[in-house]
Amino acid sequence: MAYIYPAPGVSGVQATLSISIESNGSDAGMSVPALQDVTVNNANDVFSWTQLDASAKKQIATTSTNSLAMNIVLDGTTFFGDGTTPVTDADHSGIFNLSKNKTKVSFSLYLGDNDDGTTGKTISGDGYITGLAPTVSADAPVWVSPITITVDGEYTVA
Amino acid sequence: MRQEVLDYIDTLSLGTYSKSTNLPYTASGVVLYVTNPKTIYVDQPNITEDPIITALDGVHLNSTVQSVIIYFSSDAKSLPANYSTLVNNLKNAKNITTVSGVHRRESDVTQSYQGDLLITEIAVRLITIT
Repeated sequence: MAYIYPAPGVSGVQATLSISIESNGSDAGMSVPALQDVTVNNANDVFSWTQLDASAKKQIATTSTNSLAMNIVLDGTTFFGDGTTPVTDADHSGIFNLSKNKTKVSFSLYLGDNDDGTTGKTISGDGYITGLAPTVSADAPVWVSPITITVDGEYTVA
Repeated sequence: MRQEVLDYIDTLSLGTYSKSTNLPYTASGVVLYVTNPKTIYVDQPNITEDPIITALDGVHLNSTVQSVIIYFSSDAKSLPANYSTLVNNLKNAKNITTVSGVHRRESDVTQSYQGDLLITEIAVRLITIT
């Protein structure tokens, strides 16, 4: 067994998410800081039918809808962009502008090291940032926001 | 935070009360605010931190509660005329602006008797994100 153990706060071991602009193959990617949680969704659609010789429905999985859902604590630079790196880099635009401009992004989610110390898996793909809803309250005066990356196509696991 | 509260008390009209910069320690088995009625003492701050946000990359945001307790005693048989005003003013020490980043301010007033003395304790709590 090799349990995935993304020790929070341990560099090189923790779970990390990197986003780059899909059309720029040389974009080194923007590391998304302060991830509170991440959910990887792989929801298969199912086609069902009945037939006279079966007492139960028959089903077959068809295409899937893939998305990443997460919550982050807002960091001013990565959320609104640094404005200094090349315009074609994700760092320049930041998460908010990548969403506002409907920019297609590539993502790479490192799940974290395995508990035996070996390198863990990385899930990657392309998609669009949606679902931003930054919120703050007087009781918890820190901006946090959900983020969804709706995946265009299939995940790649390496 | 203690110094900021002491500075705030300096701005108040204390009437027959006075302020001490001593801590409210116990001397010969009696706490100073009982030995010296109508003298206001401010204790050292207590600090507690509770995590409110943790992140996968090790970011920790804490809710930090700083609290100090203001002590004084008064003659219960004949309370000074400005007692109530003084308690209200000391309670408002929670509104001091010299501590930055405060998003929640609380205060409690507790009264008890020891012999013929009315002991007043005012707890002031300032809550920040750190």
